[in-house]
Amino acid sequence: MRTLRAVNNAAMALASLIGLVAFLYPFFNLNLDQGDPNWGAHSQDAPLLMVILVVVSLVSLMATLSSGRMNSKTIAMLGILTAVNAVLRAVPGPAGFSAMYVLPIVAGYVFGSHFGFLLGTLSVMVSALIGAGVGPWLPYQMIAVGWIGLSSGWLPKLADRRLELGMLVVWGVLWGILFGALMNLWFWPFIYQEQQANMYWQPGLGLGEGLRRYAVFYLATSAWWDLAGAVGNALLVGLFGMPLLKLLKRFQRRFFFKVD
Amino acid sequence: MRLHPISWVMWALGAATCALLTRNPLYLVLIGLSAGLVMLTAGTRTQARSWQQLLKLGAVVWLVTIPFNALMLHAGKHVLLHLPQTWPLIGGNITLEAVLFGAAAGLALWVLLLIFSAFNIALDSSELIRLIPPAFYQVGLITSIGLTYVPQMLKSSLEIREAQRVRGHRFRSWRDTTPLVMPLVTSSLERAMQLAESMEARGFGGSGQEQTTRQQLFNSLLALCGMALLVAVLGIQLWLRQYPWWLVGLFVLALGLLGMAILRQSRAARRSRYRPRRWHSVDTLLTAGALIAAASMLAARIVGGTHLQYYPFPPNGLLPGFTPWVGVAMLFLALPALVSLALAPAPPSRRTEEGVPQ
Amino acid sequence: MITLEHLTYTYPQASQPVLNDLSLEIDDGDFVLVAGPSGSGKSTLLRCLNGLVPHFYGGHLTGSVRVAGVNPVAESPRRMAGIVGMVFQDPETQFVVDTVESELVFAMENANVPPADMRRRVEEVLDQLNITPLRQRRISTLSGGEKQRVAIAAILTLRPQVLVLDEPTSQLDPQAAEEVLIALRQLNTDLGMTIILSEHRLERVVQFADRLLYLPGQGGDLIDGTPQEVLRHMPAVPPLADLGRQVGWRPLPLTIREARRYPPLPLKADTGSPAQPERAGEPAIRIEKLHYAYGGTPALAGIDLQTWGGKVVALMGRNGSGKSTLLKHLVGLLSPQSGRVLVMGQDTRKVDTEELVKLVGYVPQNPNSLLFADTVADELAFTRRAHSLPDHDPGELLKALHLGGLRERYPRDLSVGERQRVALAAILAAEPQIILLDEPTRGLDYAQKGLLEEILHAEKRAGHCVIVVTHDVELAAACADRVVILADGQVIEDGPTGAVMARSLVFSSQMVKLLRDERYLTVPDVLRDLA
Repeated sequence: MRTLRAVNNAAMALASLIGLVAFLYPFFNLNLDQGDPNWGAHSQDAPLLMVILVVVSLVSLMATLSSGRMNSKTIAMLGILTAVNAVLRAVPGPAGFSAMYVLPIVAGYVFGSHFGFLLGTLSVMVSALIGAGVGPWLPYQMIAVGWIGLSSGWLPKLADRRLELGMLVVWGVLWGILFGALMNLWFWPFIYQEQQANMYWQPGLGLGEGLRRYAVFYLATSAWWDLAGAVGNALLVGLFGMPLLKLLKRFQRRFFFKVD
Repeated sequence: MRLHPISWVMWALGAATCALLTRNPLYLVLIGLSAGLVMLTAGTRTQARSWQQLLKLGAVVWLVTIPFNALMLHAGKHVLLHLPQTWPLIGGNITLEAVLFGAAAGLALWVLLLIFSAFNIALDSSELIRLIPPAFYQVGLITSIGLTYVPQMLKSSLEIREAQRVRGHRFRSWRDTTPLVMPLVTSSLERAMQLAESMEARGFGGSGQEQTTRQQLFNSLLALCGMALLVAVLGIQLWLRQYPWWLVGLFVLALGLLGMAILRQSRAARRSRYRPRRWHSVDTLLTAGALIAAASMLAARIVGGTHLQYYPFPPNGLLPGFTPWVGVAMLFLALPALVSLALAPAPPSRRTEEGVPQ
Repeated sequence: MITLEHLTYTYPQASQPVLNDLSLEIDDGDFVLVAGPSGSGKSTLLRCLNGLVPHFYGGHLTGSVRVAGVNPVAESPRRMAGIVGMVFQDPETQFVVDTVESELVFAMENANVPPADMRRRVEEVLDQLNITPLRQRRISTLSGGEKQRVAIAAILTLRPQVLVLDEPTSQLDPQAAEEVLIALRQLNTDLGMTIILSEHRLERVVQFADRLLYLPGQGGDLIDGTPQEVLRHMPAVPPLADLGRQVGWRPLPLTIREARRYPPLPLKADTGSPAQPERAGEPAIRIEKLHYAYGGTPALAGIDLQTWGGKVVALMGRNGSGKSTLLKHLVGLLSPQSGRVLVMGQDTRKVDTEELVKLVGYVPQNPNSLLFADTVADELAFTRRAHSLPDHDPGELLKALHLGGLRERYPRDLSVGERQRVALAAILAAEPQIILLDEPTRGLDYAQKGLLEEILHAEKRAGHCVIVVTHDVELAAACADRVVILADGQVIEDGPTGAVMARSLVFSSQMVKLLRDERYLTVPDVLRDLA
């Protein structure tokens, strides 16, 4: 049983790595020699490969999590919270920011990484199915929100309630910014404007140049937006963090008892 | 008779592959036309309207970006208008090339949107969930519980909102939402526990899988090997900066290992299916069409010289190139529309129904 | 055959066992009713039969349980599902998927039932519960009674030998409850299925049962026997049985028909009609020619109504008759499309909801819509803050509502009746002049209901105007001065409780049905006049 858990954890880590590579593909890709006769032929492969990798990563993560034996309580709890979070996504919070990230953060922190990942991922899927729509962006969002929940499970468990809340607020800010930066990447390679080539992706950029251009692009387009989002995230975690923490811990005590 | 959900998924994947692989507006228009036809014949689900609105929004965004592009890009020979050079950023020639280039860039994204609109209108979310393979059964179940709960939750959130308002609470901004959100989340968690109990009482204990730990371990190791291989392939590819054939082979092998792990996991789940959907010959036709389109596009990419790119600036011409066989292949994507038209029952003649005299 | 021997069970973190040394046997094909106050262990007992206790709840269990020769404690609920089917209280919370047919097959797909077999079983249960027309419907579009029947059907697909139901009708209105009970009765008589059902409100079910088990709670001994025997020894019983006990009828009548077989009671002659209620002063609520329609569908069609302080009015009528719409007008959540509503002389169209609710307190049907604070006291303080009232010690109010000892408890951990009263306290904390209650007795046992009746009488004495929307005729008989019946958005009956009930066949209490006399609404009314 312990070996199985170790193997599953390793599989989760590798699948996440593949997802990360997929997100960051525009940076790694293809310092192909421009003199190479194949240059033109492969210039558009990167977006397609990105999509394949993201899907592979997502499918592997879910398969790994599904292979464990989730009991009916976990499943029901995930199902219901997934619906709550999917609806929260549609509710505009401060600074026009969606309230979707609070629950994966707090639930991931209380119930652990696996719960957090599934809550994040599946609530994006449910919200897509109830109206936000199934589209090429979906796998990216699913992975990114899943990571929010996953990583929140790694935070240290603090005894002091204020410290705990403070940590989650800071965490919310960090993820607010990171999430925006990650999510731009799925469409970044699709848009290109000649005049401002210094901020757009082109096939054959090296890692350094890619990062530099992306940084310019990020600062010019979405940084302010994401910063507002991060502040919104922090405000929401600040507002709902404490009562949600209390509530989830109460339910954890009541229902996820250890059977001896 | 309705088309099998899998053939819809294959269609969407095929069409999206095509749209992702080219920037040539001629091909894109053909793909878009096919997808548009499919969307129009896909049915009249209630969701159709919201998708049409999304498409309109997408079109607006697309159109807005065209002048933006034209104002920023000044290269090209076909000058439409000249703005004084002294104007910052936008000063200079406004060229036809820039307009065309901007339009083509937005088109790719919009066609993708169109494809997924057609897909979403054609396929109900519950049918999508039924497609989830048994290996992901638990994930599918969570999703379906979530979807079932959404309307109930919206109803109870309205009730809570009213109750708190009548209690004297004022909802003025997001800061006043605690009395709405907390009862809602609490009730939801309570409901989750009742639901779990009801599931257990109906024989849903745990995963529904009868796998030994050893079998599970084998599956997990298989998946792990597949992923490790995939990571290695990616690493090598970044190192070599090209795609030799053996690397592509390893890539396929890695995907195969992952697929095998999932297949084994699916087999282990002992569940039966109520009224499984039948696969008709029409579905084969449709899937073949989607595969032909996607394969042609891939072949065109590999062969080269088939004008998949579009770059109207000199020395290239304004008009995109066109390779007829690629264009024809794109029309295979319109097959679902033809199939729906052929299979649709003749609409009842309204006039005779209502008894309006001729 | 079900056998319990010396069954003792304690919930985790509880100090007292909820079931204490319980032994009993239930024969195949019996219809067994389990009664007892909230917290007496009815639900726990039922959950022992399919292993949810202790597998789902944890805790400590001793003694033995055998159902059809199988031990649910050793097996899991999963294995027991083929032997014992269980239906729960709230029809809303049992569904996993969103359409009727896929809900019916959920358990079978999990149990790997072959597809051909599934088809057959689905058709069977559709017929057995008479829900064939619903098969393609979305569950969210069903009524409460339909939902509960679908839940029962979903259980029956696994072909259990025993059907266990935990208060299946407590969240339903009388008509829906009737539908469900008739279906159960059919399963019992036609198929010989063993049915074990717990219920608070005995008057609806007791005549169907072969056997009644009364769990008194707090360590008391189980009373077991035929309904007639057990009703004789239970503390709180339906009015008919209560009257039978008081006047010495043997065996106790379970239905009006059985009670009519006894010789007429020697009651005093009619001493003239009771004094008409005085209608002094300005009415608290005045509704004039009120019309309201939801998107073209009329909900209220010309309501004229006035109520005064110091009176309790019961607003009755079937679902969809316009009761909720009318209540929403009184708190300003809806504005009249034509006509007008005056609350304490103020036109609701000219005052904000925020102003209006200072005068009118509204207790929603589901107390969970209100409660979210950490303690009962915080809950009350929140209301006062919302109304910008100064802080105030809630001790007296809590005591008046029999909540004295619960001040620091988490409201959501309390029983249904207690939560209902906390919600009432949260509303009364703002000291409203007019109090509206929506279906306040849903899910309450006799004792909790008695407390609620007391509270309503106290509010009335304090000069407040109380309007209760209810399906519970006994509550109306015990508390209301006046009954208003709505149908299709119009007032079809309005008058003193006795007069209205004597004229109605549906909206009348057991005593009125039995004696057909407007003077006798409740058992105490009858006893008072007994010569």
